[in-house]
Amino acid sequence: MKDSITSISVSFTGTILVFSICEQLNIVPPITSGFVLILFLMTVTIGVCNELLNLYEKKIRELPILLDFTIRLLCCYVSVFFLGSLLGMMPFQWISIWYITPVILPVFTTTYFIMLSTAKRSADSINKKLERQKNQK
Amino acid sequence: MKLLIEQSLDCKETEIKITCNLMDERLSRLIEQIRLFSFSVTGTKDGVASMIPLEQIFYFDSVENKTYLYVEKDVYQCDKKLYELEQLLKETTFVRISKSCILNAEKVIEVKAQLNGRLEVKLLNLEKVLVSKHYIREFKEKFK
Repeated sequence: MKDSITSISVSFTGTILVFSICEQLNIVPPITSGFVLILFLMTVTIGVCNELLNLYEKKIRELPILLDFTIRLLCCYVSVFFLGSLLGMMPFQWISIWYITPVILPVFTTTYFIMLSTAKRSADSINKKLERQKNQK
Repeated sequence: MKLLIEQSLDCKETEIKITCNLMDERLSRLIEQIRLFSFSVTGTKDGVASMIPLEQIFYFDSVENKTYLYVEKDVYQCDKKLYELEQLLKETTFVRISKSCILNAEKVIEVKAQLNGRLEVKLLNLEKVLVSKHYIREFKEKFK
């Protein structure tokens, strides 16, 4: 649960940053509070989907890397596309997939990278401890 | 640290008693080792059952509802289920690392992070096993 909350926070911050930069470059219209709330709802929905997938992997079976990556990415696309269309953020058309890709891909990659760096930190701290134990013997 | 050994022919069961002030890291490791030495598990290979001391076991793995135990170069079938072993091996150096595997942390020599957040663990016999990302916290605890 803690990891999911971290990934929701990172994704939300990342998305807001991407949109703020795009707004500064006049690529997207000005960001409103309603827009921010929709973005928050989207990141929470994606977080819930991820948590459900985590639960499946923990209780049933661990998925191969590529399948895990694809399902998580699909969760992002489906949540953003349907919620965005439903709440009037974008038209319910295929072209919307094209619009959301420049936001989803960098945010998703960043979140995945953070997951890797968390695992790397764990590995480093365990290796240090193993090294210390080896020196004690 | 004082080490007191009392040998007597009247002794029916070996007893280890530790008297200490606050438990430190080294002492808790020593206790884990003692717990490890006081258990053994039955392993079957080619129809022959043998008692395998826990300190020789690298990991337990469950495949299609059967549990196998791995020592340095051999594999035995184990009569216990993984959840039973998990209960039995609490407070020892063994830790659950995935849905199907319980690993002896004493046999780890190196850990590497994988792209999907899992950890790849290299063992003393150079075999590699994977720690699922859901069990990383428990695994890390064993090295505190």
